[in-house]
Amino acid sequence: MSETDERARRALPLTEATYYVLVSLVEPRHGYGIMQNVAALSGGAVRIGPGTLYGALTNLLKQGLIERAGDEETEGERRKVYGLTALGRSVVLFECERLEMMARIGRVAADRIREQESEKNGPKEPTS
Amino acid sequence: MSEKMTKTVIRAFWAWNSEKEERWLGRMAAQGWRLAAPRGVYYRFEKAEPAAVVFRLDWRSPKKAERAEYLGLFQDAGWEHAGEFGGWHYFRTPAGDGPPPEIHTDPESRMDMYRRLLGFISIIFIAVWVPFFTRLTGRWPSGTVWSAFRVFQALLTVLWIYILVRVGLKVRELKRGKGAEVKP
Repeated sequence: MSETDERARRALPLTEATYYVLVSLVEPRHGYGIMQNVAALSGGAVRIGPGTLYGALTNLLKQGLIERAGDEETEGERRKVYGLTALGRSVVLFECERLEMMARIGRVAADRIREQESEKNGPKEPTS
Repeated sequence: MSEKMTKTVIRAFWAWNSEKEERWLGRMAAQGWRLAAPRGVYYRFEKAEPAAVVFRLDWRSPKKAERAEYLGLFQDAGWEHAGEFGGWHYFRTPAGDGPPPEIHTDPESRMDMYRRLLGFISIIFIAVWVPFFTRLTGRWPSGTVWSAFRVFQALLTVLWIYILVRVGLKVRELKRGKGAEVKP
């Protein structure tokens, strides 16, 4: 395992907000672009507030997972653009693998629970 | 009754109670008092049209170079910077029909905020009180004024420790996921 891979594994697990910020930066974006991208990807279900976003960006910069990639000027507004570093790219790959495995294992358990519920309750809908 | 254009309200808030402050500022806006300047121990308001406004407070002391970046994110997200004092940034946005918008959308970033604040308070505590504590063991001038001064210092020390404990408890509360008001 390379040194980058090892460092990437050590950065895991990420908080939910940090994860969404990181995956948004697979294409370089400014802060506002990240907020819009996360809202769009999740169909509006996940919103990242500016306080949370600033904190996530600061932490990711400090950890070396993202880097500044210049400025973008639109309609007179100057915004900082961020992009993934090599380490950041490995972290996205590892985290995605980890989550897929967890989801796969979870699905087996969830299917089994549904089976058990329907055996217990018969065909009616499960109540909470 | 004559209507004043501005008014000053003497008021301070406990660091762990910033949500209460946000609600109060919202009520002031609803009564037509627009926050003009927070000054730590007092606020200045200007008379304005009553408005449904949501206030949110963030504690951060961004470096000068990152300040534009920090405020820019809030501006992009629709928050107006209404002022700042002692690292507390006051943001406001018009209230909509849905649930109030949040600047912190996960418990982790709220916890981080109080952690940073705790670090800041601790540093001030150490910087201000180290000279005092070293004098405790050394010689102190006698006399009523100095005794009164020592009592005053002791009371302030107790207050400071109280603040440290309460902010520390706030961090622990958020760590345990009890930050109910920020849950999605």
